[in-house]
Amino acid sequence: MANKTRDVLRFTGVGGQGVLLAGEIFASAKIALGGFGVKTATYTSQVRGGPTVVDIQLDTEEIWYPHAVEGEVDFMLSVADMSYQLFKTGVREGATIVIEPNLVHPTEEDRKKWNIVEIPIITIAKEEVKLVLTQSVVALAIANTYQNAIDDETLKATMLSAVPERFHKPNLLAYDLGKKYAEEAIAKANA
Amino acid sequence: MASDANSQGKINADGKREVVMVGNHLAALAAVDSGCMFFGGYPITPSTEVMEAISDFLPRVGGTCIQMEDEIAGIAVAMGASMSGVKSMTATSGPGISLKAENLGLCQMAEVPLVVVDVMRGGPSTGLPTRVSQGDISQSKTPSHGDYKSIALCAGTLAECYTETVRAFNLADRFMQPVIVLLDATLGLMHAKAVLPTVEEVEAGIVPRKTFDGAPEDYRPYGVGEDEAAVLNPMFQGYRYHFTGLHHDAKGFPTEEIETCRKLIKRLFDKVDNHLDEIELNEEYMLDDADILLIGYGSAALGIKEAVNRLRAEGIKVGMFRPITIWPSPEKRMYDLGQKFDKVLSIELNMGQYLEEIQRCMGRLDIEKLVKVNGRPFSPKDITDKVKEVF
Repeated sequence: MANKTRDVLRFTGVGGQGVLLAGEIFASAKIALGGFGVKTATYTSQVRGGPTVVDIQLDTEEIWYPHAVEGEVDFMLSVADMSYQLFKTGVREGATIVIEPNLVHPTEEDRKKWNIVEIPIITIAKEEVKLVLTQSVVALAIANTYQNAIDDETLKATMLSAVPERFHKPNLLAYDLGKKYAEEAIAKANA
Repeated sequence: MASDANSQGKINADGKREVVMVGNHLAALAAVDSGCMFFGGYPITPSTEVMEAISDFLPRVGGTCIQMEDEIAGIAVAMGASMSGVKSMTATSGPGISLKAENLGLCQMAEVPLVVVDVMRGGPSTGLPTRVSQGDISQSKTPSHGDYKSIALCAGTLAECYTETVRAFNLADRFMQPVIVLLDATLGLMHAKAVLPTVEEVEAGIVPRKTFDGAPEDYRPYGVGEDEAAVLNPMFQGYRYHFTGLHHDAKGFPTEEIETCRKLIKRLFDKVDNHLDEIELNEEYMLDDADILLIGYGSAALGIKEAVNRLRAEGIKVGMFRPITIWPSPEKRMYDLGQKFDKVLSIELNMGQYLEEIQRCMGRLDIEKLVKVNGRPFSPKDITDKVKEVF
């Protein structure tokens, strides 16, 4: 029984890619708007290089259980195949999973079960923003464009408060690019 | 983390502080707000963020944080600071408690107040470093050998990572002994909003540690009433006493005198047992009209609450009892609940460490159990499925 006022998002990758920060920004932005946001992270003892999952729940009501309930994830984004394979089962059937196509390899069965969208998140950060660290902000913008969970201005302001000032410009560019790519993917799917 | 430990968060319409932090940082903030001025430790997953935060907070208020060479040294310096009259804390996880056990026993015997935050992870041994567990429940009752009465508090919400740490400092000074604050990997690392008392409210609740201000030659730190805590004046201020882990007399000197030894250990029990009303704290959630009682604590209670809400939406009347003070256990309340409810389910992220205590308090063995020891949390579905299966 999923709560209808709740957005449940899942970011997966490998430790060190920055997916934790994107989750904190989401939760903090919802709280800044007067709602409730919870981020939990699960990673292995090797931390860097190990599969990492970040669950984010956003709601207008209080959230008790801090992890996403399996089968109730509304949106997942994955930038590593090992994490994709481990954590995809939590996503409800028919929901959207955005993947980095150079690194994540869904099966044909997966493509029937979920709306798999390919956006080259790391390539965008590396070649267009020219700062690979901004991939988490590209991911943040993509997730929010699909889920429409937080208004862009609040999310951007929260993001900027979490990164050093000298990195504001590339992160704003990363956000705008993430949004652009997501909007193009949505438009293509609807065409 | 904001720049100043005492200006964290914003004040809401109810006059409370709202902060957005992980549980480990909240424990560190609580320590500083409680007047803690010393932290000694050795970082260990998943407690590392406690030290990370307090190493930032303490220097801002004139306090000291020191990373020692190992877990044993971490508690040893914190104990030493406390003997000098300074509120002190250390933080660790289960493997660290194993190493600190000897000094925890010394703190019990010599009556040194100290707050020890234990962010639980999978065990035994090094276990599952990044995964959640409640495997330290038994350990927190008797981390060291010998007879003594532990006080252990178990946070079950993000806000309680703060409030239980505050309470631990107050109880440590009141009962002159170590107090363990149990968090776990879920609570310690989850990031969300917590509504906290203001610093002024916390400060208003602090009762300074008792001191003796008579003539130094009359000072008898352990010469107190039968259920009273020792009165340890800060070291190096003219009030001399002997400090030892051996059985000791009123001045702290070792003794094997029969009655003195018996009375000392009995006092270590009675100073706690005779004042349970100052220590016990529980939460009862939707129990009034419930037919089924779920008992759980710590982060497991977050899944339980969600499960209670989901089961009630299906018309199944369940409620939850959550001990916040784990040791001493709320035995009278659990006895009463055992009389009231036929259907009782104990839910723990261990093999049933508290179940035995529930059985003892309720005086019955027919308690159903749901346990998990694979480093994963209980989901609400685990709990709703179990309730439907056994009742």
